[in-house]
Amino acid sequence: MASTDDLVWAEFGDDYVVYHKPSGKTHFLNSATALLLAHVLVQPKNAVEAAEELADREEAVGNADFFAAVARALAHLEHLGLVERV
Amino acid sequence: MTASDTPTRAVADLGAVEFAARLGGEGLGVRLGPFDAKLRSDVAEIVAPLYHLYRDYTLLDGDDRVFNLHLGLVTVRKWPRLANAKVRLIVDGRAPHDDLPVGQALAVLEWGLNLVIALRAHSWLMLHSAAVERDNGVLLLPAWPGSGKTTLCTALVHRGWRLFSDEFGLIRPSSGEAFPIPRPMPLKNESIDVIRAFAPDAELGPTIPNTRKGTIAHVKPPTASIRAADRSAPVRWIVFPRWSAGADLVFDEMAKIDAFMMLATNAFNYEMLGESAFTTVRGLVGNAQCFRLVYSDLDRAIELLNGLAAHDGEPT
Repeated sequence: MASTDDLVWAEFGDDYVVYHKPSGKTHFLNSATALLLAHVLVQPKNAVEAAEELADREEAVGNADFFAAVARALAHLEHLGLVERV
Repeated sequence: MTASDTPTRAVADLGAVEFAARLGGEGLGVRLGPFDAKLRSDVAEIVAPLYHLYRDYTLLDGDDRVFNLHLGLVTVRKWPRLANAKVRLIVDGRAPHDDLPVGQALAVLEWGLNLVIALRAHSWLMLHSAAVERDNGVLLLPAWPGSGKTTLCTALVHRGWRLFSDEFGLIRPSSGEAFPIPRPMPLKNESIDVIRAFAPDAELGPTIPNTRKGTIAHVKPPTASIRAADRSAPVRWIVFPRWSAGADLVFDEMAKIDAFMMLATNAFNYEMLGESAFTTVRGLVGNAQCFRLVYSDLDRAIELLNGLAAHDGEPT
């Protein structure tokens, strides 16, 4: 994932904007994706671990739809170059 | 005596004859907001309108000055006896675009200044925005071409607002403050008569037909705005205006995230400044109220914006 030092954040209520220093790109994120990037992915972990940690934060443990949404968010972050598979 | 010791003089202090001599000779040094410009031209047609529009600006004398903008405008004639002369804009010895008819000389010079500023002034976040000030609060009007930005800006400065610019929202990244660069405001097409009717006291330069933007006439900035061009101010309101014929007045507060996106995409040099631009836009959007304005009636739009300032953010 991107180092936290590589990211600069702007927060407007439930909306987030993040600037990725290495690429010079600005990204607009919803709150769930921002939470995933800012708090859950601060350490390398697999998709299941990330989803479980986020579910715990969001009180969504055992919710299959939530896990699917996290998988989509991870794919989106990977597409943006903000996380990478290791 | 060095340049910094020289008492401030206005361009008008030269008188028309010396003005023409300088413009056609050593060059005219003039302060444009935070920029010191040297203008040269042998185009006779430009002398009188330029003197009229720039007479209140600070004159920059002295041989030891360093100018950060240099522009030249020269006459180009293929056939000396024919009245088909064109003018060539010269920036650092090069012509950045094709020659244009001599009748458009004033517009070419003003476009050239815009071009040079947009290409070089990267110590500022440059928004494509009009900016006006009242009670130490700046109203930014970021907009795309054709949205009525210059018309609205011209109307506001003839109703008590101080002109910062009709074209550039210059924001200092370190402070987030807006800086003035009051310059002649180019009205286009129908807007010329709209402003003549709205503000009969507005001083307009010559009407220039058949330019690539249609007919143009430049409005001289109010003298008070030119003389206060060294006074920056914080941005208090960001209003994205759009003129639409026959439209009802719409004035909605915007989500900050939408304002961020529109402001970032509106800036000339957002990508070039990178993180500095991001944090500057974040500060602007975070500290200002952000609105979307659609209007067709200029008087109602001005009344609304005056009310916004008078009530500090609560539209009337």
